[in-house]
Formats: sequence, structure tokens, C-alpha cells
Amino acid sequence: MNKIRNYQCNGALTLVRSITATQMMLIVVLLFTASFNKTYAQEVLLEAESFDEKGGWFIDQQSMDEMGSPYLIAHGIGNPVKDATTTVRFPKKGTYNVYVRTRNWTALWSDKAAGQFQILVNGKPVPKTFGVSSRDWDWIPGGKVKIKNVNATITLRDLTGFDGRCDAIYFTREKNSPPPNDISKLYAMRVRLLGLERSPKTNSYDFVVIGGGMAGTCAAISAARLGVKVALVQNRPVLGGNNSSEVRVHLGARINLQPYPALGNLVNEIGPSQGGNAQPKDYYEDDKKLKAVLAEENISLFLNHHANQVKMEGDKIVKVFAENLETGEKIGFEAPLFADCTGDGTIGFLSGAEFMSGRESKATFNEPTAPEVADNLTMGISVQWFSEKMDEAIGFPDIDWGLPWSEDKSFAMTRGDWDWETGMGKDMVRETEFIRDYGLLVVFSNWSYLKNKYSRKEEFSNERLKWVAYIGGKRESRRLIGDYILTENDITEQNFLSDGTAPSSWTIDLHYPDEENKEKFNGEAFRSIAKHIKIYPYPIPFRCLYSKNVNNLMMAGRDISVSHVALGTVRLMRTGGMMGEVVGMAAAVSKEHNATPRQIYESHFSELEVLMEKGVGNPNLEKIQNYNLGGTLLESERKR
Amino acid sequence: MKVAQFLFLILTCALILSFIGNEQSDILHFEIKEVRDKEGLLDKYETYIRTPVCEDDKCYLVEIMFYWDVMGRYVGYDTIPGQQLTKLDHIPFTHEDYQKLGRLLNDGASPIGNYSKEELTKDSRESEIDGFSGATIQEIKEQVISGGVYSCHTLWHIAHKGEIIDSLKSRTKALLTKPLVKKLVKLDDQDVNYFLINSFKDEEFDLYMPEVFLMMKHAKGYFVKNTVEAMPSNVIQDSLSQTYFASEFKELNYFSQVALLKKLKPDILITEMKNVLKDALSDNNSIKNELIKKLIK
Repeated sequence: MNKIRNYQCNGALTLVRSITATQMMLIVVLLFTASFNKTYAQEVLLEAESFDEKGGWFIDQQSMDEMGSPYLIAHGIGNPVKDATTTVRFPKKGTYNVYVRTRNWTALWSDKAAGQFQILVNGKPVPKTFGVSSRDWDWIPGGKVKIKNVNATITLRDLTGFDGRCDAIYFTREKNSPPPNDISKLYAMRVRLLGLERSPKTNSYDFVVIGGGMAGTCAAISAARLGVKVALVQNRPVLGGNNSSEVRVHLGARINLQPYPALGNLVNEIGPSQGGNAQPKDYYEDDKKLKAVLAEENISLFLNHHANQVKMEGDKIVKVFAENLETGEKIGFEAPLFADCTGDGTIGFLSGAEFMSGRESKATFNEPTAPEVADNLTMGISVQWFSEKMDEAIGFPDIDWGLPWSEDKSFAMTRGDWDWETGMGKDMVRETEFIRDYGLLVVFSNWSYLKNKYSRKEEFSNERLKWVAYIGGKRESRRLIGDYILTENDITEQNFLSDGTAPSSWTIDLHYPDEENKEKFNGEAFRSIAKHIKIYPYPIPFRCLYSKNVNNLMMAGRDISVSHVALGTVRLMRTGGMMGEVVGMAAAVSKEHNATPRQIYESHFSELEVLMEKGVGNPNLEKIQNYNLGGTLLESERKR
Repeated sequence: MKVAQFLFLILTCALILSFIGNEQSDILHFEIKEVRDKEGLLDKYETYIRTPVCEDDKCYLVEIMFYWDVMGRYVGYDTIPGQQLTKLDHIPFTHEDYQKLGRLLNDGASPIGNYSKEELTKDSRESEIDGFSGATIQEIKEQVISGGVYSCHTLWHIAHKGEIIDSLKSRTKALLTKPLVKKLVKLDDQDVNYFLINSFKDEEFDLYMPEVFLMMKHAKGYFVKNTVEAMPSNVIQDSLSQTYFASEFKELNYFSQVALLKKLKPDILITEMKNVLKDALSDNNSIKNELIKKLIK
């Protein structure tokens, strides 16, 4: 049984993980015999994310589909983080060549390196400093180490506090034999050397929800409360997604609206009681969401698991496989119904679901707000931040790897809100690391300037850069196509459809690069503007919540079937949470009738309507989430 | 033509109500005049307001004329002859300041409504900690008059959040007559329509059915649904109503249709309605289909 256990330590929530015998094996060393390898190759692969003690290093999985693995990042905001350490048993004493998979993340912008670190073997650094050379992920030769005792301690020592990153360390007796950098070959090597099972264990459920943001969390709870056995798979250690303390965007839009006022009761139940972007950690109440999930007997929660593979039978998903971010071990999730609440539409993409991205042309859906010609401009990723005032002056490194900065480029601010937004026009899935890194780069460049060179720097002398996100807050990527595509006109003309479900109430809120900022920074803006079109709440059709061509895949959150313009309103998290409530209800109807989502629409919709009228959240809780409701056009209330 | 001149021309009747003292905590004194059209029907309200504007411990009096529609919605302002508005240190408003004030007051959704007077004048850092974005603060800064933030804030809140609004609505409700309802329905204004539906007593629906049909005819959103739900059952079953709904059924949105179907009773359906409902049955499963089947079984 892989049901997640929750460990509490001194009242603080610690990392939650699944525990099996094989997962306990954090490093595996294989000694190959002559029958397998004529040179008696002896090698050790250490995945950084598998280190026993991670010290101050964090696991970053945001780009693993592109670069092949989760990695450790030393996000110390200018202060070197605590060492990560692990123990390893070498196959034999002797001299080993060391290779480290890493990169210099600032090489794109500077010939200097921000994130530098060392590898220590039994307390002695290997000859090379890492994070300084390759622009892209690659195996960097680190020199030779002499292993005198087969039991060794390996340490990752951060030198700068500026997001050095390490994917893996490879020790080999062979000369000139760096491991492969190609992702599929790299994966094969990981399977071989880490002893990962080639046929992962599979668990069966009624419903598998991938993505533990507000949409996915609500979908799982909703289904569970209606008697559905659910697996909730989330690739971070916390639930909440953009509303978690890792990203710190407050919930937005309205709940409890017509035509189904009970929708949103669950959002009200699990959402934070206070609003505000880029605020202290406890504003986001990660614990509240986790407790709500753990309270459901019908949910098996898999935190730190990234779903990255599917098995199809015709146009149906049979299994989704997710990788444990620490051990690399895969688990199969088998179910008759899946929900893609990944934001990026990852499961849809892997299963061949049709999708859209970028901006559709005006002619595509006859939308007034769409551009004449389709393009790839999407809304961006926010790397938010804030500083705190200290009693005494505090310094910050005068960095030499930042962007060229000056008085007129600086932002004399103590908090970076949603409008610190990067990557507009980039590929939101394939270039996530670049987009996040550019966000970090400009925050650090600006802050270093304010602290060290700004004409009024004394105003910032007591300010300490307290928090900068390293998990980017993403707004837009793939939109999976359903049996209906919601467009601007549907919403502005209030063209209500019979399968209307959760109402979208935020403005059509589309972000664009701030032109002045774009010009000042060589076409790569990091500040954005928002353009709003006010709307009356619009119930999102059920047909937008399932894939048109993968017949057992539903969606909730920002990857539903909408045009780019319509995404501007549906993308708010309270709305996504309500979509989750509906998708969970649909899972219950699906279970009852063994029906696909399309069959629910065609043959069982009245049952879903009854469930939407009733709701799954506690209706008696006080409505306390009065923040960030948005400039919704509201019909007057009927008072009779 | 300025609003005040227009009002002067059409002013036929004026009822002066006077509220002094504790009716409105921020306002020292206001007088409401009903402005009527040439048929003698209520057209709008004109309000003379005298209110203190306070900066720290210092207060000064602002006198201004506000205009409101029948729903108590702010529609304009005018100065009182000889009573200029002033900024900090009694510097009089410039022409541009008056224009800016007009633009601010016309924006009923201005983010200034989200802030207390104290919050507005905190430095941006403190305000940000309250969860508002720097961008919003900036937006307000652009809307208000430099040196006249307190006046802008006070007047905006009187215009859009004040208790005067409720007293005006109550006044209009008390004045509703068939001719006034007819006139208001012609405005084709959903807020007005909701106001009317909320104002009708059960026994009045019969009297106003032609106007109710007219309101529903052009309605968007949930107005028909809400109206149907508000209508007394006997009025819905009335053949006049059924005839109307039968002719309009196809045009109603799904949620209005369902609301209607929930209120109709099978025993007293007129033939026309039955036929419409038969035609409206579809192959898809839905509450609507289930309700229709129950009604015409």
C-alpha cells in the first residue's frame, strides 16, 4: 500500500513521502562482471535529488521533462546554503574519474557564473569547481579522486547562494567516458545503475488526478467524498500549486455563483483565509489543503511524484506512470478515468490529446480581442519576491554576473508582485528553466543594484531580500481541446450553454510585455501589463472539461478547452478549484455508469446537475475569502 | 448642456427631504430634491451635500451638488456658486482638478473604493503588505488629485458607497406606480429591472405582468431565471403567462428554461405550452428533459 503518510515534527510539516523498501535505496551501486562488461567497469551514479541529507538544497523538477531529471538547486538568495550530504559504497578502492551533470545558468547572459559549488569526497573537494562552465546541462569532468575506503561521504557544497544546480555525480574507473547527455540514453543509464524497476508496480484506482494545484486538489476531494477511490499525484512536496507557499499567488475570482451556488464550497473550505501575492509563507496555508486531502480515506496522495509517461489502448489511457522525484522509481496508476490538472496539459500531451497554444488569430474564433495573425505570445511566469526591514544594515553581494543595470533600469521596490513576469513569447513548457532563470536574474540584478549602487541606496540599507520564488508561477501553456472550445464571444454575449458548470467570473485578463521594459532590456521584458475586459460570470461548459480525442481524460484548471482570450478569465484559481469540484463529481457519475466523460454529457448529465446543485463542500462554513474577487460585472441580487 | 441647467429646465416639482446629523456619519447635512419629468414622473434626484474633509486633525467643509438617478446611482456633480473645492492648504481646485474629480466620480469601480483614507496615504510599502499590488496603488495615484486625496476619497465614497444611495432607492420604491414602472422598464436597464422585480409585492405581479414580460424579453444572464423564481406560482400558471413563455421558450437560456419547468404544473398546462415542450425534448439526458417528461407524461 502506497498511501502517503504525513509526518509531523514539532508542529511543522516536514517532507511527506511514500516509503517502500526499494524507495529506501537512495543510491545503488552496481558492479558489473565480465559476462556483462569485458573491461570490468566499475561505476557509481549518484542522483543529487537522492542525497540522504539535502541541507539547504531544494529539489527542482520543473524542467525534468526537458533536461531529463530532477536536480538540486542552491537557492540561498545570496547566502550559500547548507551542505547536502550522502553516503556511498564504492565497489572497490582506487582512483575514479568524476563527472558532474550541471550547468552555468547565467552563461546565457554573462561570462561569469552565479551558481558555483563544490563536490567533496570524504570532506575533500574534487579539483574542479562546478556551475561555471557549460551553458547547457552536461557532464562536466571534475578530475580524479582516490577512494581509500569503499564507504565514502559525498558532499555538495554551495559557494555562492545563487542557484547553483547539480543533477547527478558519476564516478567511473574508466578514463574519458562521460555518461550520455541524451535524455533517453541518460534514462536508460539511470534504470541500469540505480536498479530502477523496468516494469514499475501498478496500483489501481477509480480515478487518477494528476496535478495537486487548486483544481487537482478539489477534483480529488470532490470525487473522494462521492465514494470514488482516487490517486492524487503531485510533483511538489506541497499541494496548492500557484497558491502554495512555493509560488505565493493568492486565490482569485468568485465562488458560489449562479447557476450552481453550491459550487465553490470546497474552495471556500480549503483556500487560505487571507489574500495577497508574495507574502510570508503562512499566508498560503499549505497545511490546510494537505489536511483536507489526508482527511479523505478514499484518496491516496503521492507527493513528489512527477507523471511523465502514459500507456494507451486505442484512444484510452490505461495507465499513467509517475516518477518519485527522490528515488527515480516509477509507479503505474491504472484507472478507467484520469484528470489532467497539471496546468501544462502534460497528460493530454503524452496521450496524444489535441491541444492549442499561443494565440489564435481573430479569424479562428471570430474574437474581437484576438490578434489578426496567430502567434506564440502567451502570458508569462512570475518569479515573485519581497524584502523585509531589519533592525540593522545588511549587505547583498555586488554581483558581476547580472544584467547591465543602471538608475533608469532600476525598480526601487521592496516587493515584486504578479507583474514581474517573464517568458511572454517563449515556449512555456520547453523553456521553463530559461524563463524562471531570467526571472531570478532580473530580481537579483535589480536588488544588487539597489543595495550597492543606487543613488538612494541608503533607503534599502536595512532591507533584506527575504524571499524569491524558485518555482515559477505559470499562467498559460497547453490548452487541451474538448468537445467544445469556449471563446470570448460566448462569454461576452452570455451565450449560456445547457452544459454550463463552474462559473468564470474574473475579467478577461490578458497579460502583455511592458513595452518600455521590453525596449530597455533587449526585447526580453520582465515586467508585464494586464488588459481587462469585464464580464458577467459565465458557466464553463462541461464539454470544455474533457478531451475530444482521448476518451477517458478530463481536465480542470488552466489546461481546459478554451481559446487564448477565454483563458484570460477561466485561469483564476477559485474558478479552477470549482472546475475540479465538477470533474470530481463527473468521476462519481462515471464510476456509477462506467461512462466516459462524453457519455456523461450525452446520457447522464442530469445526475451531474443534481450533484452540482448539491455541492461537495461544507455549505455551513463562513465565507471568509473576501479577497481578490475581481472586477466582475454582477447582476443585482434577487431578493424575493 | 450642463446637468444643472438641464435639471433647472425640467424641474417641475421638488420635494425637499432634509437629513441632519447622525443619518450619515461622514455627512453633516444633505438635502434631496426629487426631479420630475414633464409628465410629473420621477426622473432623478438632486442632492446638496455639506461634508467635512479631514486631514489629520484639521477639517474643512466641502459643499457640493450631486446628481443621482432613480436607482441612487451617481450621475454627476456640480459646484455650489461661491463654494470652490480646495486642496491642501486651501489651494483652490484648478479647471483640470475639477475634470479629474469628474472622471474619478464617474468611475464607480475605481480601486479607491477598496481603501480607507488612512491606507491611501500610507507609503506604498505598507499598503503593499496589506495585499494590494503596487500596480493598484499606482492606478489610484493616477486617478486622484495631487494634494486633494482626502477630498477625492470622501466624495467618491459618498457618491458610491454612502447611505444616501439606500435612502434614494427606498424613496423610488415608495413612489412606484404603473406609469412610473412603464417608464422605468423602457430604460432597458438590468439593474432597474432587478430593482423592480425585487420591489413588487406578490399581489402586484398580476398588475405588472406586461412590464415583466417586456423586461424578460430583452434580458440577458439570469434575469429570466430569477424573475421566474420570484413570480408567485399562480401568476406562472396563468394562461397569459403560459402563452408568453410558450412563445419565448426556445429563446430562453437553459437555466431559465429549467427554472420555468420547475414551476409549471402538469395539470394546468395549456396546449400551446405542451406542444412547445414536446418539441423541446432532445436525445441528451438533462434535468430539463426529465422535467419536460414529467410535465407532459
